[in-house]
Amino acid sequence: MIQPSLVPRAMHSVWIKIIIGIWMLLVVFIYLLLFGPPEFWFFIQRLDLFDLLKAWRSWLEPFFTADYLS
Amino acid sequence: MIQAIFSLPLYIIMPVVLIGYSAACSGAGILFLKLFGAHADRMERISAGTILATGFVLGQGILASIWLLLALGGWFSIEIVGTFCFIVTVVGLYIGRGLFSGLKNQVASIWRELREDTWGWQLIAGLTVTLCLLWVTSLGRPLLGDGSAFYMALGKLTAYSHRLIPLPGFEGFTNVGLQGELHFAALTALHSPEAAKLFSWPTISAAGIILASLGRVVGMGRRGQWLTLSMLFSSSAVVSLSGDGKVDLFAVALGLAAYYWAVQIRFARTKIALLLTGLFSGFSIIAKLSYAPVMVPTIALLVLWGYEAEFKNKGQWRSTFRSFIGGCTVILAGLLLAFIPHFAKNGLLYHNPISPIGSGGIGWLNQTWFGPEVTRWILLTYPLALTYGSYWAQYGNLSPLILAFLPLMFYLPRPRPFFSSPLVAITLVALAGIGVWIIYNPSVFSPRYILALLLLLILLPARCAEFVSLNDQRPRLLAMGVIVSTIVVLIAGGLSFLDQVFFPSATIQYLARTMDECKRDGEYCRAMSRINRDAESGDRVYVASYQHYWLRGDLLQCANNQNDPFSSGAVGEQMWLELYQNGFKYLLIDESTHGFMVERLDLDHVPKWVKLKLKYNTMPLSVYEMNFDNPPSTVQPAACQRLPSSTTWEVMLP
Repeated sequence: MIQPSLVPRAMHSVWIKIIIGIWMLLVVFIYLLLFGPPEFWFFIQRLDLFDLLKAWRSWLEPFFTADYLS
Repeated sequence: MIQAIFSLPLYIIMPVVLIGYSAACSGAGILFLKLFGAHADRMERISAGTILATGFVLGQGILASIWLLLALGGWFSIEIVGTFCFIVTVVGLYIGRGLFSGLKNQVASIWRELREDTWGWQLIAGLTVTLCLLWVTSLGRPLLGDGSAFYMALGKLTAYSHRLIPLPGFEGFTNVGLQGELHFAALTALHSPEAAKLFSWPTISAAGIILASLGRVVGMGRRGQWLTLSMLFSSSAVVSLSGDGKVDLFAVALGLAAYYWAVQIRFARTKIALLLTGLFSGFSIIAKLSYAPVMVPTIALLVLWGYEAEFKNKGQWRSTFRSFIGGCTVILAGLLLAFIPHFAKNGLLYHNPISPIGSGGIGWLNQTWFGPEVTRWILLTYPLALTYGSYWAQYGNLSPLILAFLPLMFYLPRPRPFFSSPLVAITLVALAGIGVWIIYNPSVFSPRYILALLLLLILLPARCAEFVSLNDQRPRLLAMGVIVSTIVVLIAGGLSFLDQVFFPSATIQYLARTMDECKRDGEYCRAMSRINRDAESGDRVYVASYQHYWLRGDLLQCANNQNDPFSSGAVGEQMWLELYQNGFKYLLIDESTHGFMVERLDLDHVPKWVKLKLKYNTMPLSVYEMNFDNPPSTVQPAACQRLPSSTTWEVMLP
């Protein structure tokens, strides 16, 4: 017997799923940019995106950094 | 015989002491549960794992209180600590033996369910367990910072002197609550400072079990519980505290246990649940005083929620109120029971039981870390700052999975009635607690200050992600997104913790004794080891540094302290004269933090009657041996003497 879904019908919209999926990817991607291990940067280098992503990281970092009493 | 046991290889003695001491904590906790709750091992609806984790964390609180009282009396010797640990282990574990068969069944059931799940979830579970196990390799992590400056150093001082005295150089700070420090002291007394370094591992494992049990209370299944643990072990705010000698994780375990039992008040209002709520709240506040402003209101809110259903019944208002007051009295009794040893310690050492409140050195309670502009920015971006922040002294973040899975809450069916849902209540209480912290101390932004509360925020996204993973329909983008995001974060987290927190290779070398303590810990250890090698028993060392941990036990007790009568403006020859009069033989200067000492001593123009011998010099540390030839003083210099038939050393002023 097929169980009825507990999720409201509107939430099955592919567009909503795509938007939330992009949000998940974005959150994880920013995490990797800021705290990614050397292996991540090695992989990025292989994709020839190292300079671009380093620039993004340099742009992002000041939003989440501050020194004592600054 | 005891010496023969302690001379076994480190890879045998360290795990034996760590497991044995953890068993002693569990034994003490189970014994307490048995004494105060006759059927603790048969508490309905509560799993054996949860009761064992509760017993372990409770035992930590109880043992720390007993150690504190023993240390205040000067009876903190290996004979007493070892015998007590042995008795509570044997008695407690014998009484609670039924729990272990329950735990075995529980583990078998988890294993069976995992085998039936998809490979993606099996991978998530495997990576989570791996991250948890990697914690052991923080044994190879260099000991630096606050851990070696105060927490581990106080433990070592207590273990060697058999009594609790303020740590030299930190006399104004020893009034903090002591929980983790006393476990470090006990494990050091049991000849295993390595086990002390790793004791945060069983502690965070117990905290993880309690958090996953809270997950069960809010309606999670196994997937949700695995996600909860994934988020816990991918939070750098948690993992960064692994093996660094800090004590924040003790407060996390105690705080989460307090929240677990406060939630239980609604479902199983037994006297033991009320007492445990009070005890755990008290112990967690003692373990981390910064918990006080958030713990009190959030526990109060959860207790009110526990009585909500009865309060709604207007007809029985009077009897409900009586029951509520009775419940609050039991909670307060538990709170007081947890506080008494702490009050006794501060009463004896500082003549003020509620110190630091009412004491001079209260500055660290009232801090400002950032200016108004940065503070405003942090507050405006709070969830992002918790996830991505690298602010001064922040010391780690929450897992990005919390933020990533948060929008999935729109998929979760609305509970009816809304506020009766444990998930809603816990999440709102956590948010209220964060609100209180923001009002109380807006510019102090550091997850570890309120970590137990912040970890409650894991439950909502974990529950939502689990729900979506079970109910998503084709195209199953979100279910796939949950698995992929979790796996990526766990792998990336694990890799970035390598060589920052986890040091597998150094740990193996350390356990095999091919790497010594100083090779692991660096310059401070080398400088102090040089003093340890040359100094005679009871020689006085003037330590111009925040670090003390590596000094020998007797030298640690004889180091400069606030009772040394130095005049505040002494410089040059006068300073050297006072060093002589106070009986100092060695001088350690850490120019990175105490560079002013070089100027005060005018090291380029040392008086002729001072003979300095440079023993160690690697920037920023220098060690000198001081000899005084006909000093211009008739005063007999102070000396540090061992008290008759004891290991306690005291400075005798002339």
